[in-house]
Order: sequence, then structure tokens, then C-alpha cells
Amino acid sequence: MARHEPTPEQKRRALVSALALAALALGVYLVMMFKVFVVK
Amino acid sequence: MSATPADVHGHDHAHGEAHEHHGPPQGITRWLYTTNHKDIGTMYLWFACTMFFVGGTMALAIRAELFEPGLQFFDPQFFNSLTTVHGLVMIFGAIMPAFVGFANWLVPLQVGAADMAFPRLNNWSFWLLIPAAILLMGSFLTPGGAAASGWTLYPPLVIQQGISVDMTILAVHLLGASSIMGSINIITTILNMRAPGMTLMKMPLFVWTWLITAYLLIAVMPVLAGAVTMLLTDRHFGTSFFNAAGGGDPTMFMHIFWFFGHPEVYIMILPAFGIISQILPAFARKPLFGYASMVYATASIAILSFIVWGHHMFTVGMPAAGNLFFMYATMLIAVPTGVKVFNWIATMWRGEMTFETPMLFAVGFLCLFTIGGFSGLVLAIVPVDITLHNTYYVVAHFHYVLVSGALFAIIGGVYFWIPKWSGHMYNETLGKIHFWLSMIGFNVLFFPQHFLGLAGMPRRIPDYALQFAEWNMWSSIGAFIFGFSQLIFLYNMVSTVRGGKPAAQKQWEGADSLEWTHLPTPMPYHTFETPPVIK
Repeated sequence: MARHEPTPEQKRRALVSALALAALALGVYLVMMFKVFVVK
Repeated sequence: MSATPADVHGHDHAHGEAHEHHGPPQGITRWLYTTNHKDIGTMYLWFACTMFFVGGTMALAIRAELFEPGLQFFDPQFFNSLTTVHGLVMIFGAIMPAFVGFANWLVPLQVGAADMAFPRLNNWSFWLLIPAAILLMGSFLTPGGAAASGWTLYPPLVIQQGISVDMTILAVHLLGASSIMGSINIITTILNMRAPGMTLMKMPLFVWTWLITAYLLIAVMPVLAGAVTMLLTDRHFGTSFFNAAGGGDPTMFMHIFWFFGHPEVYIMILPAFGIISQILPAFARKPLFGYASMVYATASIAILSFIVWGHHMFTVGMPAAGNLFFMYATMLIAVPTGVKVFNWIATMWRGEMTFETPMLFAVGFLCLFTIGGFSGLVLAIVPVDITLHNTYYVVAHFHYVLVSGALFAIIGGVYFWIPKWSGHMYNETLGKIHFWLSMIGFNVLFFPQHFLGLAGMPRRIPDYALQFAEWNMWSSIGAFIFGFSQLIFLYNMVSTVRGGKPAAQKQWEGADSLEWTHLPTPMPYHTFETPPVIK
């Protein structure tokens, strides 16, 4: 019997959530590094 | 939690049998390539256990040195390396991975999901820990020894040291990346993979505390990463963010570090709250008192954790208004924390309690964590903190929070769930001996450190004045009792995993989350392939 797979809707929503959270983390890091890459 | 057993129980038995023939692959590849949340949870827990014993060995080395005044075994530089790496290993290598291990095992089971949302990302999150640990421990072998600046990595000292600091910075980056990926996975799983009917307010408290913790991690880990990247550029690329010699400001590093560092404390304690909120109702045989208020209190603590970082640096010369703000904000955290302690006590009130090992550790947590919370309130008072800053009182305070808080919850949680995870019951007598030796050893180890701090003994020194000798001797004796009693735990857990009396499906009468009510013991390799329906 095949393993249960998340539904396409669950997959889509999971991907959107993950991308939003990754963008949040990256955004915080880039704000921190703003001074290194831009102001300096 | 109001979820009730649905008609999927027998179904999962059937699935368990159906999957026996294509269960886990054998050999090393099972662990290298696994995407199964149970396997990855197991690997996180064994990794944390290994690092706990590595960090614990360093702690015993520290206490051996401090057994009596004078330099016994180590030169001061190596002693400072020991305190630094002990802190980093225990925080990033033991406590945090242990809680991620619990999350991997329990979050999918408790929300009725088949696995984490991103199983391959989950595998990667774990395996990043190994090079990080190698870098951290390997730094001892470099010229000049491991980083010796304290786990806070304060400049300018950290800018002056050798390559070991670069290895530590790289290790912190890897650990941070691992934590962020793990957090994304946990949040995504909780928000998108819940079984039908499993509304947010039906989730067990452990899932709630991890949801909030994962948001904290995503918010503050990049801040730490930014801070240590700037340290790296100060060391090698000619910047002077924190180097006063080039016009930089070391105090800015402290602000940035503690903006990460204080939420980090809650990252290490909120999942512990979740575990305790599962254990106490199970052994009191009553539902958790004030479920909704527990959720709101957890969220309040998390939000407040962002505005209290200044209490770690009252002595750097902030304006009085700043000190007052941080003092009052810190005291405010006592309100939601008090709500939690009240609710735990109310859960036990008039319950039909029994005191098996997980309950002993939960009650031990409740008593000792509260002491740690109270000493935190003492330290929140600015004039008191100015006196006690960098003394052993602070060391006593945070060990009451992180050892009798986070670690006791982890140990209690392992005793609570290992019958479910392994299919075998642990040795209860050994568990109780382990608890009482830990309880006695811990208090003999850390309670005298309050006296040492009040008497003015500074932390992070390998030698001390004669008037501190007696309590240091007692503290070291307690350390060895506590340290060696953990070998009983290790033996008990290894022998439980390898065999023993079969555990029941619902080993604990009062346990009511899905893994107990819906799944057989031992659990099949794949669970909830058809999502349960929660009524």
C-alpha cells in the first residue's frame, strides 16, 4: 500500500508557508547585514 | 485536549502490519538518508545525549578545578575555553537538539500527520549538526585552544583570539541554519498538516509551545547569525563594528547578542513547559487546568522576551530610563509565568496522583524552576543586579532555569514517552534512583552557588579567594553526584531500547494525546497514513 501523501492543496499551502517563513528569516538577516553591505 | 479516539485505531494496526515488509531500510543508509520523522527524532535525541555527556564532562572538569583554591589541573586560558565550549555545547548541542528531537517525534503524531511537511529538509537540518559539532570540538586542537570568551563571544576578546573563533563562528552559522530549517518545518507542519477536526485550540500544549518557539527561532537566529558574521568581518575583512580600536562599539555587540540571547532562553524553556503540561495531567488523571490561559501565557512570554534583553547588561552604563524600562519589562514576565505555575499546581490539586519517574521529574521541575524564576526576579532589580552581575549568583540562577528547568523536563519527557517510542517499559526502580540522586546532586551543586555569588565570587575564574573554599567544595561534590547519576539514566534508556517488559498502548492512564489514544505500542514505522478524524 502506498504511503499517504499530503493533498495537493496541503502541499501548496505548505510551500507558501515555508517560503514566507524563509523570507522572514532572510529578511531579518539582511537587515542585520545592511550596514556591512551598503552603509560601509 | 478534547480529541477522542476515532475509528482509525484498528486501521493503524492494519497499516503497521502492511508496512512491516517495507519498513525501515537496514544499516547505516537508514540513518543517512532517512526522511522518517521518528528516525530523525531518534537521531536528534541521541545527538543531544552525546553532546550532553561531552558538555557534562567539561562541567566536571570545571568543578574539579574549582574543588579547592589554587590552580590544580588547567591553566586559566584552558579553563576559560572549558566554560565557553561547555556553554555552547549544552545550549546548541544538547538542550536545543533534544527539544527538536521531541518535536520530530511528537508534533506529527500529536496533530495526526503522517510526517513532517518537508521530510528531506528535516534530514538536512539534522545532518548539519554533525559538522557544527566537529568544528566546535575540533577548535580545542587549534593553536591557542578553543574560544575562551564565554559563550556570549563578546568582543574585543573574541576579535583577538586565533582560528578557533572562526571555527566557532562557522559552527554557530551551521547550527543557526539547522534551527531555522527545523523551525520552518515545524511551523509548516502544524499549520498545514493537522488532521481533520484538530483545531488549533485542540492541539496538545507541547505542540503549541513548539509552534511559538519555532517563531521565536526564526525571528532571532538570523540576528545571532548577523552578529557573528559581523564579528567575522571585524576579524578578517577590516571592518570595525565592535572593535573600539577602529572606532567600533563593543556595547553594540552586547545589545545585538542579547536581543537574540534572551528569546533564546525562552526557546530553551517553552518546549519544557509543553512537556510538563503533558506529564502533569497524565499523572494527576485530570485535564490540564486553564488550557487556553496556558496558550496565551506562552505567547505572552514569547512576545515579552523581545523587550527585556537589557537586563543582561545593566552594568554597561545605559541611561537610568533604559535600565528602569528593562527592569519593569523583565518583572512583567513573572505574570504569565505565574499563570503557568498556578495552572500546573491547580492541575495537580485533588488529582489522583501517582509518582512514577516522569511525574517525579515534572514535580522536581516545578519546584526547582520556580526557584530559578524567583532568583531571576531578584536579578531583574537594577541595583541588586549591579552588585551581583558576573557573580556565581547568576550562574546559580541560570542553571536552576536550564538544568532543573529544561533538562529535567527533557529527562522526564524521555521517561514519559520511551515506552511509546521503544515499545518497552523502562526500569522504574532505576528511574526513581536516578531522580533522587539528580535532585540531591543538583541542589548540592547549585544552591551553594547562590551563597558564593552573594559573597562576591566572580564567575569564569579558575582560582578564588580562601573564603569561598567550603561552598565550592560542596558544589563540586554535588557536581560529581549529579554527573555520575546521569550514567544510570543512560544505562536505563539503552537497556529499554534494547528490550524489556512490553509497554501498553496507553502506558499512562491519564495520557490523552493522539499517540496514546490512537496508535499501538510499539508504533509502526509509518503512522497516520490515513489522517484520524478528531471529534
